[in-house]
Amino acid sequence: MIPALTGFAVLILLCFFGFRVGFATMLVGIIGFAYLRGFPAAMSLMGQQVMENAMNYNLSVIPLFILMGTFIYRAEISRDLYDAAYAGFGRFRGGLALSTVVACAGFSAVCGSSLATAATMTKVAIPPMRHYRYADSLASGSIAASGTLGIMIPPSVPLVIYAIVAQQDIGKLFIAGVLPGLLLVGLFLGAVRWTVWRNPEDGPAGDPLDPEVKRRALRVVWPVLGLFVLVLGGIYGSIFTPTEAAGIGAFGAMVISLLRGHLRTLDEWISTLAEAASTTATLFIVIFGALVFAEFINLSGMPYGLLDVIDALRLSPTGLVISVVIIAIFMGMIFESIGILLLLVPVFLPALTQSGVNLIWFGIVVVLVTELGLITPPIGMNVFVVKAVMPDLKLGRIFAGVTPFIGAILVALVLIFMFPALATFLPKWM
Amino acid sequence: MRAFARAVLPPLMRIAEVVTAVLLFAMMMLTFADVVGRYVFTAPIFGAAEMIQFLLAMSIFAGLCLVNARDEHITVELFETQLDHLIPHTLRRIIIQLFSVGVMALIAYQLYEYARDAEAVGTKTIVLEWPLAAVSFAVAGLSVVSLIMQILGLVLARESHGVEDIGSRL
Repeated sequence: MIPALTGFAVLILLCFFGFRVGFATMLVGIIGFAYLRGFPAAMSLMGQQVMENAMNYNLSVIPLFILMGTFIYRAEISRDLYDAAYAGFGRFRGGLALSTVVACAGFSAVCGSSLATAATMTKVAIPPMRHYRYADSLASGSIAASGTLGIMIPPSVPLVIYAIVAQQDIGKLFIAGVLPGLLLVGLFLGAVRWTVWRNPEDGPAGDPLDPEVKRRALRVVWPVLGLFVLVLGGIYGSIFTPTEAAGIGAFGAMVISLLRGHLRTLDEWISTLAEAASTTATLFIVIFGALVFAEFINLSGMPYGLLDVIDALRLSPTGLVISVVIIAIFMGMIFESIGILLLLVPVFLPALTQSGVNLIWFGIVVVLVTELGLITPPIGMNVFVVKAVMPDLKLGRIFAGVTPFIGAILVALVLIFMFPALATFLPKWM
Repeated sequence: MRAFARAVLPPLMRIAEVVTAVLLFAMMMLTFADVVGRYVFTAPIFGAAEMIQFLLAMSIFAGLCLVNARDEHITVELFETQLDHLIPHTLRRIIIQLFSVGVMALIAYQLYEYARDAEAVGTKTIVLEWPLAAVSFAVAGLSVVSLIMQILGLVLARESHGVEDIGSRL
């Protein structure tokens, strides 16, 4: 187990120093593998891993869903989604924050990027909340936290990556994420209500929406909702594979964008498509690196060594999952969500399998923890994004604002532990 | 060197953008047309899955040209300020970038070796019976281009404050 632990330590140090995560992971993986099996073997392993995974049909779901998100982003629907949510929730106390939660959930579900959601929604939702004198903490906290909702609500790239690493069915994981995703939305709404119950002046009710604005907003909601249902319904009914669903989703998002008057010049097309391809490449470099690294970790015998440790500690399956969750929470302080999934899951996979843990359920648990990592200090990428878009917000206020939502995520975690059916019920019927 | 990079990189970026755009668009349309063909005309596209696999590999490495040139790679920025007190920022950046270039060169070299192996063995894909070497060489070629663009991007980035700025200037 010593080589593997050394590998992890070196990797973390290299990342702290500022080396690019993908390249650092790749090199540590190669050197580790070379230490155990010789340099030529390590090099050919790298070529093989990179090339074969670059041509892995299952992974093609990633660029297509990213493209769907990029098209949706370009369609500039965030304003209308917010108005539509406001039409439903604006009149309640804390109504603007409630609307923000719902709009963020909808936007991040189809957009797929929690950072893009946080950035967009900051621009859309902060000005009205300031107008109604919402507390900065509630206003910014609700955006930073709700931006992460799309990680759980399918289609979701982190769920795809988990599926690849844990060799689980992507479609089943997507469907498994539906109920926990909705549960989280409900809990986040509860977190807003709880905040305004404690400090009513933090979030007053809004005025009724102008009927014309409401009509215009609802015109956007239906196609977006329709696309979402088509993509997920197609996967659920096994009408198409996740990759095909992603292709259809991207096509539909393109149509929505076109109908809304975007994508009118060749330049716009090229920049949209190239942006999606860049995001894809950024992700794949980390994926390649992590897959090579995982080969080294497997060869080192660490995942099987852990089996003995778990036996010696007489750890129950629940105890094992709780330990992994705690480690994941700590890793979430260092790495982005993708890093946690790619580095942590392979190490514990044999132990989890042997303990009889349902790996679909575990995927939902671990993805929930990565959501936590996006809003907890010291990194909390989503918090930083909100701050970057609205520099006059105090970082401390935003972190204070996300605290009730952190509580909501922890409640969701407990509920999913107590009622695993939340994650396993729907996929069973596929 | 800088003048050369300034002259060469922007057109290269443009070409890479167009290539990635075409590849990704083709991938989307192919997937869409395959499903529509299957359900509406009961005529799926023959070998669509394999074509998508090829397009995936090519679009990743074409996209990597853009990412490498702009250094858009994922990083951990936990100790940025503390580290700047310990070692000069520029020195640290040089070390980091040399490391990135080194690993990228390793990847490109090994992809080329993989392609040569595929050529020697003569592996063909199962459905379309296309030579695996063809796409492997294409991917290896793209990774070499991305390495060159990475180096050019670094040369250019040196004159600005940070690599982050370069995206907006290209």
